[in-house]
Amino acid sequence: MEMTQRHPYTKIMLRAILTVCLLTAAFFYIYWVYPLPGDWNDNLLNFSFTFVALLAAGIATLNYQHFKRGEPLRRVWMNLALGLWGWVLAEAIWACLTLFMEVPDISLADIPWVGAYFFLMAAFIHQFRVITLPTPAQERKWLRIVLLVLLIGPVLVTQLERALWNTEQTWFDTYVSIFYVFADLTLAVAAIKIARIFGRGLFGRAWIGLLAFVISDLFYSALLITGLYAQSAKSDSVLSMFADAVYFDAYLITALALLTNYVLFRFGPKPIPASEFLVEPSLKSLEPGKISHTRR
Amino acid sequence: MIEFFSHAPANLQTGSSSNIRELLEIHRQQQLNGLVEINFEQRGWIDILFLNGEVVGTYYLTTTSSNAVAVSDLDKWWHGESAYIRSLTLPGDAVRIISMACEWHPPAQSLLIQSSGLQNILQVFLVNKICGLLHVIDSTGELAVPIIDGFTVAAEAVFSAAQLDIGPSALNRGLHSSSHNCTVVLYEARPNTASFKQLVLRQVVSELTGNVLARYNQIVGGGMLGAMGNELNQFLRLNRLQMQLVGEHLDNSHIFRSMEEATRSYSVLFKALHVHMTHVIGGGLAGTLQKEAYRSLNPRNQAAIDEQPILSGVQW
Repeated sequence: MEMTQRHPYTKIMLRAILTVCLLTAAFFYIYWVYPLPGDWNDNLLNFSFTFVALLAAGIATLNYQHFKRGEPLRRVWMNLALGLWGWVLAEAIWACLTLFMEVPDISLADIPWVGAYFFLMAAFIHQFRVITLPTPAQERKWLRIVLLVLLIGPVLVTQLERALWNTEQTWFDTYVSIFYVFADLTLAVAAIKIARIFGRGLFGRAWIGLLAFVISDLFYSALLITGLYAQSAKSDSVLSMFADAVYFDAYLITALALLTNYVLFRFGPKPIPASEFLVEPSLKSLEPGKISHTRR
Repeated sequence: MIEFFSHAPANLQTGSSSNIRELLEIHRQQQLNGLVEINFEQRGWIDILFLNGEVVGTYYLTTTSSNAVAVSDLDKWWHGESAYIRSLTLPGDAVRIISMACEWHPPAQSLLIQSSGLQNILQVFLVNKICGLLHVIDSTGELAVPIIDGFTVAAEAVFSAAQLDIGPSALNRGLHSSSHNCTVVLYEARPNTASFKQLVLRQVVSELTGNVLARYNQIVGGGMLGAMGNELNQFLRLNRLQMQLVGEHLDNSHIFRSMEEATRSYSVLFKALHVHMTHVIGGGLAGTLQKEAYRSLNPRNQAAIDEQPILSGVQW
């Protein structure tokens, strides 16, 4: 059926942005005012990360379902969705652990957390493969560099940090904390690279969203590693609230970016005025307005 | 006189030029594609070709000559005598085949052979890099297929029997006829004719578009390719171009009246492709993709594209 109605992109995105604003406001309100009795405020805040991670993973899964078996992008979105589901699992485990104990720096939640990075990396690799068609030699070279940076880099920095500063953390705990920074930086570079290749194209938005997440996670990791976060949490300063809110919103921004892709896949891009493409200007009088899309 | 698509249902009558004016009006009003053939028996015949109800070619043909004439000058060639008139509605591809035959008339060869010898003839065409139109007529039907450098252009093949078939399946049916004998007619292409230049350009544009669409499909997936197809097909319809994007292919049944018109239309098509792709995957990648598609053409096809300002609206 031919669709001549307005494209729903603006309407959907405006509603989604409004929802993000409301959720952020609610997060700040609970964080600052503590309106609920007992531990409910903390529990709600702790599980709120699972909820926003779930939103991002859910939308990524819908995007994955858009692609048929055998389509190259199916692998990209499958890995992206699996990575995000890994984070959902990690957030859920962490939130559950908070119900029973003071969660240590490195816990069970870190297994899906770290695992997710490998799926996300796979998504990036598949995306690069699709758009740049690298030769096997080029691909091997870049994979070697990435693995070297991801595995050896944190080892060296961990050694350096432990040599320079006294820390109560075990070697492994420090290594995992530093790994997150390296993984985030690697993802950030990859996301910037892909976003640059797509330029202003709509396909780049999901990667820009992921970049927002990675940057906020870097900020959060930096506060954790330097001990500023713990200091701020103890003294009830705004820094820890700000860090948590940035982390909370990073999931939402990722979800928003993924939503732009969902709208694109579901409804197609916004129509381009057909008048721009008339072979003979006399045909202008026949133009029915704008080119419209067939609803898929 | 070699009659094209004699198996296709046709309206036959005897009449004068006033009947022709009526037929022209009917074709115009109903926006029909097809052929009106006026046969003067001894003196020759006139073929009038229609696309979307508009006359896209009128030819006065004798056994030894072919002249393009203006449809308004019909009376100059028709001296008022009564003539046999055959009118038939045909798809654009079939009309285009007749247009080639008219421009390259008279045929270079006409042979009665055994159907099994058809493959040998195609082999000879390949060795001699023949360009033209092959017309095979037998008792079951007739096949018409353009040939470039000895290669059959399967996408433009037309097989006419009880029903008309177009494309590779038509070529297959025509080459594997059950009939024992057949008449093979070759219209050798004249390189300077609009029909030949457009045939070559059509193949190159088809290959270039196919390459672009295949790569775009890899990058964005079938759903988004379909969305682009819908948008561009509306633009093609709006411009009354008998072309459409089907998956990774450009189906092209259009007949252009001049190379300028063809160039202008293809140029707008590539501009629309580029604008749509830029919107989705960004200008840089869209440009790279078109550049890759262009580079994958052989040098001769690249030269054919370079000759016309088809990609001038595309930023690389």
